Amino acid sequence: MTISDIVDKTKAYYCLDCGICTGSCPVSRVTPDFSPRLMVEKALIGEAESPYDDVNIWSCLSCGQCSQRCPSKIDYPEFVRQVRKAAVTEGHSGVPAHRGLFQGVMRLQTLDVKQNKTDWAREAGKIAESGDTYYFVGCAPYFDVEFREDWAIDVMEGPRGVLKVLNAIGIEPVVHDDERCCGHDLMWNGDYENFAKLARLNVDLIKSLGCKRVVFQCPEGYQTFKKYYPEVVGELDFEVVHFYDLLAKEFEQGRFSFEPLDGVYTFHDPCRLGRQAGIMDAPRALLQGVPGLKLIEMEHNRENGICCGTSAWMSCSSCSKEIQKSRLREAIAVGAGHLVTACTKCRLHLNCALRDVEMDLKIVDLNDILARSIKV
Amino acid sequence: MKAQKVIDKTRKVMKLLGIEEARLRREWISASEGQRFAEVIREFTEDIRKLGQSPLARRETAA
Repeated sequence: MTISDIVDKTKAYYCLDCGICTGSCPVSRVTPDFSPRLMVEKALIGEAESPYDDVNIWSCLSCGQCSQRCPSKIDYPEFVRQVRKAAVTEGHSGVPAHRGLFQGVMRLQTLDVKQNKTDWAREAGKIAESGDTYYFVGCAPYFDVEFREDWAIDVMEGPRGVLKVLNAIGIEPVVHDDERCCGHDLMWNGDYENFAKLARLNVDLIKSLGCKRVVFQCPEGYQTFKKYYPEVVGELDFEVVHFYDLLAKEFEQGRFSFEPLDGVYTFHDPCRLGRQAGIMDAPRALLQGVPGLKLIEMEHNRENGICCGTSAWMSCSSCSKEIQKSRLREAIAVGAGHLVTACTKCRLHLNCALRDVEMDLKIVDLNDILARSIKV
Repeated sequence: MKAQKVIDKTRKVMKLLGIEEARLRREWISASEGQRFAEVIREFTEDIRKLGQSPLARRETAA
């Protein structure tokens, strides 16, 4: 796809040059060299000789704050996604974080691997060999290897919490060793070929198991299946459900309640879950359902929620750290003692910044809170 | 220390990916121990040969 095709596809020609995108962009605020407006402008006037050489195309967090406010409704993350896809075919790439460990694992998963990644599930709760409901765990077991000892973070608290809660409300989901990464990160890294391979492998697995619905907690997995898989495999013949939507519905019907929990909490909307998938009420309803828990909002919340600073394990920089620290300061400013995250990566990224600052703030996983206090 | 940490993590990732543990080996060999180096590599090569080709080495082009 040429740059003018991408402009046509994303309707970037509707740009009014108003600059609200750049004014809203969390990256531009820290790194003025990066400007969504300028990037679109360059593509429109055809100034850039080779737009794919521009290092800035790898700096976008695809958080979507710009598009959310754009008066012409230009899909800027889509513009970036297409530009990256084209850039990779021309031999360019971004800079992976964590030594490229995760991208390596994701690419190996496109091959004939026989994974061994469900032991935690058998220890934490009950899972089934077959059934209607599949629980798509995602990459947490791999992330855990990198962070458990180095940062003293138990990444598996999240998936364990989800499984415990599902069990508590009477669901024994299928969890499978052959599940691959959903491909979210490779897709946003521009490696569309391997993203498509992962998509086909996952859909084939779920089809072969005969599951009718797939429950996701990971916002990236949810959004990737829902929005981007049909691009590769056509319409999905199973239902894609978010864990918090499922849970909030059950909670409304009075199927369970929560043990009391003290403290002041604030909720960090992951960009994939909040702004992009539109799931903002369900996690809040669940938190507010915990007696004694005081939920307060940070300055930027819901569709204005600030990104956790880095995306798709790529381009992690001092800019990411600045974004993360400003997010932590927002939590402190409203007097929260706990910052609740609903995405494994948000939790890790914000914790990374917390290691550098002295703040009386705990970053907690929503699934862990729910699993600890659910009462059936 | 750093090497040990990388090896430990690699082993854990290999386990999750279902790659046989014996495909990774760590030995401390000094630059003066030429003979020992040769022995270890010979032994390691033999071990790997016994395991056969890894499924990960089967690329699409070979299929």
